[in-house]
Amino acid sequence: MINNRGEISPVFKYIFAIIAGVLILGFFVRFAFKQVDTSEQIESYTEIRSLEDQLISLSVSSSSVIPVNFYTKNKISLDPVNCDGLVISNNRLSTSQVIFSPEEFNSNFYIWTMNWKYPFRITNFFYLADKETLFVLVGEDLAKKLNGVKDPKTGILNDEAIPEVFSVEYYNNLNVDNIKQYLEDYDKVKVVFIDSKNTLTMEDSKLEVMEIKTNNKCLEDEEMDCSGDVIIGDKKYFFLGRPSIYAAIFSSNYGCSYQRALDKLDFMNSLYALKSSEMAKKDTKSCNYLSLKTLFLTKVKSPGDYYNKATQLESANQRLKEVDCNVIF
Amino acid sequence: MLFSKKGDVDLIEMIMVVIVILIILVLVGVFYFKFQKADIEEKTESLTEQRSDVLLSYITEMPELKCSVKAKEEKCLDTIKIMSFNQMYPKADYDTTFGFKSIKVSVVLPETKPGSCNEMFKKDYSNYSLECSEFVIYSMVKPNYKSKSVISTPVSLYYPDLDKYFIGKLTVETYE
Repeated sequence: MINNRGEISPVFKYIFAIIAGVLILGFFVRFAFKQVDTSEQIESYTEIRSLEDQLISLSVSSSSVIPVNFYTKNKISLDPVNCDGLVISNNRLSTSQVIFSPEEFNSNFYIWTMNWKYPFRITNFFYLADKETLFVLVGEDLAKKLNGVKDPKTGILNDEAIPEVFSVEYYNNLNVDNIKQYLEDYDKVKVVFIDSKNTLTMEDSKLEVMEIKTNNKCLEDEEMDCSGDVIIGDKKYFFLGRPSIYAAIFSSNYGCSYQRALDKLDFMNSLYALKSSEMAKKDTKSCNYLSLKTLFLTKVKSPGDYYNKATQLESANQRLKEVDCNVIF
Repeated sequence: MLFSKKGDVDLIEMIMVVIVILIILVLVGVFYFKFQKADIEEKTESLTEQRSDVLLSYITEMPELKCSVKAKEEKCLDTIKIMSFNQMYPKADYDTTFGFKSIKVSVVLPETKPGSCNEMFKKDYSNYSLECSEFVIYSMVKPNYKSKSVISTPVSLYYPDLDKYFIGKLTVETYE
């Protein structure tokens, strides 16, 4: 007699094999998806670090434009609260740079940087935007020059022009039909009235409108002479120097980003005040560094006061050079 | 009476096969994750090195430190600006840019007495120029750091109070 007690029915064997197979397959599939996630995160982190390095490298350039192409297809946004970071695929890049950009833009975009002096070099402004954001400039000479005018002989754009890599249109008089068409063709449209009345009444989630009122000195050689107001809805801000006009055009959160610029200006003033104080201690030529220190520490609020302070500082610094004293900046 | 042990063997065989497969999977998993960890560490090191190289060029051009002689920017670092910067820089901004690093400039030529110029500056010591040899631009040491990488470059140091140039070495130490 044969006892079949120990034998397992083939059916149970097959069931056991199927369950084990499904578990192993499930494990590998889950592992594969996790790997893809991990690779994307690593790639994203590497890209962010590279972007940070690019921003740091560019911050010493007087004016440059570079393209940036990210692996991720997610949009990039500027921190709306403190304007001190870019958010890319759930990764946050904190930065000390002063960035002016639309609220959100594609992962393939351009960085344009420009030096801001007032009257000494303070920091670089970074203007970020993609080609799917259109800037429509409405106005007279200044708006035309910012859009860019090519020299008929050389084909080179004027110095004040926004680089050609960005999507910019110019109008003397705005046609609403054109705006409607642009809203269909672009992800975002920003209409900027420069020394011109805001005639646009339409509203759209993809549309931003602002006014810039200048002191009519923004086409002069001296960038510092250019100043004015930026009006966004019922809010009014000021700008100092021509690089600040571009800041207003590019930025969706101008007040926040510009405050960072003004904070840097304050810091540089304090730094130079401390330097003036040190120079005064060893002053054997009666260079009068202490009056310069007082000037650096003068608190100002209005654009007019900022401008007066800057021109006085520049004159005082020049005078030091003329009387053979060491300059402060 | 005979008892067939064929079923017992069958069962044990199956269990052994599953155990062996599991062991192989675990070994493969261990090797794979070790390999990936090494790859990530290498990438991190490469990014850190890249950042240090970028900072070395950036620091020599920072408006907060760069010197200007006769109202023109020159390729040198201003010693008074270095010490002023170290005393009053806004932590939030520069900690973001620099991270866990020590950034120093040491005077190479002419030879000066060893010592911290920042300390003398804080104590309001007027004649620090030849009495010290090290300027600290920035320092944030990582607690319990395992190692640090060091890169350096020669720089020109301008002493505005003396209107003289010295040769220095700018060093960036990165804590890991």
